Amino acid sequence: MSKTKIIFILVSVLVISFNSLPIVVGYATQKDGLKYLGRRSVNSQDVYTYVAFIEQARQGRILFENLYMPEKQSPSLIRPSYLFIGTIARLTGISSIFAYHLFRVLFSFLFCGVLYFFLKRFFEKDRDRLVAFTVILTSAGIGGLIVGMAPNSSDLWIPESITFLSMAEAPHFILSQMLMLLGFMAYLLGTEKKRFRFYILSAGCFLLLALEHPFNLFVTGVVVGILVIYQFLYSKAEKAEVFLGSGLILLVTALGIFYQWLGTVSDPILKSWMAGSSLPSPQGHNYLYGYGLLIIFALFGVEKALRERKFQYVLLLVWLAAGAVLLYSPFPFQRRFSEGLHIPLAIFAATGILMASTLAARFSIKVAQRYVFYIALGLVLLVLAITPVLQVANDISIISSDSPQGYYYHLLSAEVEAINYLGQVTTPKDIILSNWFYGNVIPGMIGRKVYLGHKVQTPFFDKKVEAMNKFLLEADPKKAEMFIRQAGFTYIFLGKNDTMLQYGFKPETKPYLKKIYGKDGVSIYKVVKY
Amino acid sequence: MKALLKLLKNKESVFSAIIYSLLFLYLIYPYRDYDWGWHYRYGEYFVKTGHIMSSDVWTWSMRGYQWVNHEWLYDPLLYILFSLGSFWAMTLAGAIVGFIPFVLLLSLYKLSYWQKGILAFFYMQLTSGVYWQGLRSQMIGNLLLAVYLYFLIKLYHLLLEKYRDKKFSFKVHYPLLILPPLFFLWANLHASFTMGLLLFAIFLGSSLLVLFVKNRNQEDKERGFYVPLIFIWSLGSFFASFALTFVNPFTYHVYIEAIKHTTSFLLPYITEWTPAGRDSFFFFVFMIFSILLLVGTLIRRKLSDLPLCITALIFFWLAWGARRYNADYVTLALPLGAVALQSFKVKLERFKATAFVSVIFLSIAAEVVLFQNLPSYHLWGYSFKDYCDQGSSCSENLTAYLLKHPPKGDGFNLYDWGGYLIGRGVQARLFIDGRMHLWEGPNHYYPFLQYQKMYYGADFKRFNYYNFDWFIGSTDSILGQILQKTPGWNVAYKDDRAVYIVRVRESELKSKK
Repeated sequence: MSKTKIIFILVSVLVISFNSLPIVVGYATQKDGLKYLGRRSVNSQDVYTYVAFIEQARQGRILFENLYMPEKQSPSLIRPSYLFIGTIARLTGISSIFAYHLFRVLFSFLFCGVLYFFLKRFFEKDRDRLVAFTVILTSAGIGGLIVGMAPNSSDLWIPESITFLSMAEAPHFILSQMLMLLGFMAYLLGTEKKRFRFYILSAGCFLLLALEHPFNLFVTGVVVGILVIYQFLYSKAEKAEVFLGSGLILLVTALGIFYQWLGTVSDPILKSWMAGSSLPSPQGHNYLYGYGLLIIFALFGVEKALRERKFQYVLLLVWLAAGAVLLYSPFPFQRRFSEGLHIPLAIFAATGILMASTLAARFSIKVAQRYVFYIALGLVLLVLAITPVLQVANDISIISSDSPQGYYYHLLSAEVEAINYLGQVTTPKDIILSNWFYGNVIPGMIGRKVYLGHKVQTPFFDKKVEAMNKFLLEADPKKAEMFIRQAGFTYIFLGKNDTMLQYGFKPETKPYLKKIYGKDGVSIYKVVKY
Repeated sequence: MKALLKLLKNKESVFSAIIYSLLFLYLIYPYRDYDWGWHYRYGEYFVKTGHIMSSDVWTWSMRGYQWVNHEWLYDPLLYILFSLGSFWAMTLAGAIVGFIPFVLLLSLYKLSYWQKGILAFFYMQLTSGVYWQGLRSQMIGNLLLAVYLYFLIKLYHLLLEKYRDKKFSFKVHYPLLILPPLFFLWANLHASFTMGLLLFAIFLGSSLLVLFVKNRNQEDKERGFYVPLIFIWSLGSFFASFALTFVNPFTYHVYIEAIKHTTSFLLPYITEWTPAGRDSFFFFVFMIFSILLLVGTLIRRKLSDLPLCITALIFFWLAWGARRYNADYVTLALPLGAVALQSFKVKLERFKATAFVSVIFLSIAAEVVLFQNLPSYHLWGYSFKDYCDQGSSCSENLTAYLLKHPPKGDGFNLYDWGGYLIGRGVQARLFIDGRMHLWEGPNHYYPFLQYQKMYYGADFKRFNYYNFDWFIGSTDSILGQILQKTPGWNVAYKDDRAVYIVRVRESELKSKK
């Protein structure tokens, strides 16, 4: 293996390890009586929704259900990545949450490999490619430095907008970005080598993308569409081949979007899910903070690219422009279009950083020029990585601050034991009522449905909370029984010092409930006929 | 067609046209001026009778008060505009009035599209705190300030370039003639004309200084100190302007009113007179704009920029202390911003990346305006319900109730809704409305201060002292909630926004029995 490749692998290992540090620390430093849940601050509520898919696959299901809603549904969700992860988990006997993190890391490595080859198309020198590689993996904006002034800075809370954050998110986030890269790389190869099979490969990547993160198809579709027009106007490429190849990709993109749209409008689960899922972009300045200095450096790279007008740079320019413009397009999920946007921006920024470092070196004496170049380069890379470093430190700090008296990133060991027991006594048809903190993790831990557990995936979340609160204080058993029949839950889970008990719920006095588990303050009740 | 293609190839024209168009669209705010109602009724009275309503007729707390309505001429304008085109006319007029200052002042300078874009961004952001309610008299004041500055800058250049002129020429010296009638109009439309006088003095003084320090050639130096004739003419214009400001229904009282508006101890109680939040994005933009002005000025270091710098500095200080001056600040600092941007040596228009970034930013701006701002305003079919929804959260349902069942006796009402209730023709003896924040009755009685203490301070003792017959306020206000539970008060109407509570007098109870 060449020295260059070893360096690239080393950088990847370092970045991914550092990225996973909060999870490792979380598991390694569990306090007595606490079990770490394997989640961090950003999108913490979503982790177990994905783990729930893995758990369903682990239990042998191929088509998935939304376990966060009690309403009647038939399994219809297709998630190839989670089916694959879940199947591996079943075959190897590892837990779903472990499989989640294992594949997050593995997909991150795969992404790094694809990125390495992708960058080869833009940088001839190994050194320059390594700089671009590092910038993509480690950079973010200035959100970490101005968190008091700009708490909504995109690099603090939109994981898809920054590669480092994407690698810390659910496995399909980084997988989707890898598919985007692969798709674009195949497209470049198609136009360059004039071989149709590359177009087919590109279309295949986007087809897979349609099943993982269909939002990205809007970006890839717009990019390919504009590139077709560009090639017709300015390129000497074989027009018929470009037309056919790009046409195939656009057709697949359109089919992917149509399939998802059709699935959403015809499937009540997805429909209700989408209805509650509004992902608007924050105000523009939050993206400016979120990309920070990268934007400034990227201007130099963009200028260079516009002057050279090489086709691969045109692709990056179009990707950058299309992604940015789509951020405020009239779609309710506009924030999702930031996925992958960091990549072209960071590539241009890397060019700018190299230019700036070269310029800094020129101002020094001849013998020191090499050192000045690397010092300037190193300093810029460090500054760009401040926010990710601060985020890792922050994650470790808040995960460690959990205690048996107050916890969010952990559960009590007794609660974990009880939930596992619940997994044994229930079937996938059962629905569990709990407060929404436990409701959020139960589907991922044991693959069972809950009455409520996620603000988006549980349709009519607020109404359900209201209804549940009313039920908890209901003195009339007939009315309570009617609610149970409507809601359809069969078990009630109560953690230690559960908020439901603090609210005034007295399960032991209810004739329609039978205690089937009670240990260390954690209890499980079964709904019975009386 | 050829001409169109040629135009499209001209990057400068295309980008500039897009920037101006987007700025205009951005300045379209739904009409939601809290003071609409009393302006409308004042205007109606004037148009129908030909007289100015000089004493208060709507409130019982200050009935008969002789108010110096320094913006009296705005009222008939609003009445006519609203009668002709309802909310649409007000919205459109607001956008036009907000747009003209930018176009007018930037027309004085040759700027590239990116420079216009940067200034448009600052203008759009920093005026938003004032313009968001749609057309207001304050916006008219801002427009006049901009028009005035436009002619003042022209006059200033005349003073520096044509100071040797001995013959008056209408063609050349026309700004001198325009300024007095402008002041006459201004003094009848808004009290901000007083700032105009200050600016006049700054520009005249600066011109004299520049002339004798910098601009003189050998011949001038040999001549020693002298006062150019054009300066004397300018002084004449200044005094004529000053004299004409007294030609208004309230003569010198408008000056007293203007002074009150800057010195009253009640100002900290009024949001627009308080500073913008220091941790807000708005303040960040404010600071970036100010730094741009400072850096540009330091790079240029031109004595001829002196009046622009002094003007910007004064209004920076005012805007720092009170958010209502932000629009004036950014408007009056536009010329300095333009010369500051011109002074940057790097000509960004030469770079391809500038056009690329501009395309992205303008596309995003277009999306925000077309897909977010405008649809959210519900401009199509805008009604009084929308006026309430978008503005002071007043309740049209309550109004419908009050029109059918007019309140009896002397009541207490929410300050922000006073004007609206007057405008909607509710026959009620109100406690307060938007005109009255600085009104002073006998023995230093300030109804606005009383209102603040009762409504926001929940001073129930004071409230009882007034012996109000009814209460109109926000449903979730502390006072409203207390009254709803207080014996002797009866909720006559309530919705999720407003509550109307009536006192049940003992005599009424007895007669019912």
